[in-house]
Amino acid sequence: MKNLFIEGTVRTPHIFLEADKGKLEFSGRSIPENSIAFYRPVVEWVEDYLINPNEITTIIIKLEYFNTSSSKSLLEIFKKFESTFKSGKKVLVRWFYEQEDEDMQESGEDFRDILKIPFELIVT
Amino acid sequence: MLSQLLKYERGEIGEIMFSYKGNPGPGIIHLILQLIEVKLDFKELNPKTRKRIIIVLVEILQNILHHKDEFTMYNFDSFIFYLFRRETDYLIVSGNYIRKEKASLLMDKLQNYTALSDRDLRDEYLNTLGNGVFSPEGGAGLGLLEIIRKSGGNLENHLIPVNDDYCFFLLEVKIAS
Repeated sequence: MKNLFIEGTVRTPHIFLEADKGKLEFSGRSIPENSIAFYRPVVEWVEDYLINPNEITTIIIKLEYFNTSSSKSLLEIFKKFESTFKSGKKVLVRWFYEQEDEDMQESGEDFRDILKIPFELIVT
Repeated sequence: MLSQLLKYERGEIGEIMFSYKGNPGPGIIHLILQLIEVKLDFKELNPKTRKRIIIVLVEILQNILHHKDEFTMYNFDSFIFYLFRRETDYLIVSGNYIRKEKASLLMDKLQNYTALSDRDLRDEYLNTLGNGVFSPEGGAGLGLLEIIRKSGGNLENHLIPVNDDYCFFLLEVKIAS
């Protein structure tokens, strides 16, 4: 399976999805007007990946900020891993935020409290 | 209410950091965001305040863009926007035309959400995030909740009647500095 790389812009995140390593990384900012269209290739990649996922999948979030429609899209992507986790594979979300960044901490806590997969909040 | 609009225009309620009058097209919205970000980099030293202003701005501006209609798009001056810097806070003002039936729904939502405690507001946010669906316009139904959360509920709204179908919706959001 091919990796997916989407270069970041001032409005959209840098995304690197590596199938062989089971590593999905999102960084930068995510404020596209149409988050459904922007995240569609990511959703499709994840659906393909989950047909035969790695034993361990790590989702790394290093976002600066994002709009609410991106948070909805990201949540839908992360939720796809819940059944993989239930089936016995290891899945971990690592949510990085800066020490003083209460907003990204709060957002991380929101996601952690909704998702049914292991979720780490990491201060940088 | 017109006197309030004049106060904005004359900068009587704070230092005008940015003002715009026109149509809320997608290109304009992103230009506004970029210009404000550059200005804030110079004027506001606290990164937390800068970020909070941007987060709220994104939601306000994209909400207006998602809910635009022909009346909004083809009327000059159909959208006003100000960012004021004051001693203890920033004041974001946005104004746009809105259909009367949509306006009453919006006012009800604002009234209900602003009456919630912080805890209930978070629960409402999580419930909408976890169970809500995207609107046909691509919104997640979270914008208002996010604006209220990030401003600590420091917002006011006014409706100015325009004609039988439309009114002008004014939103003032304060972000502590």
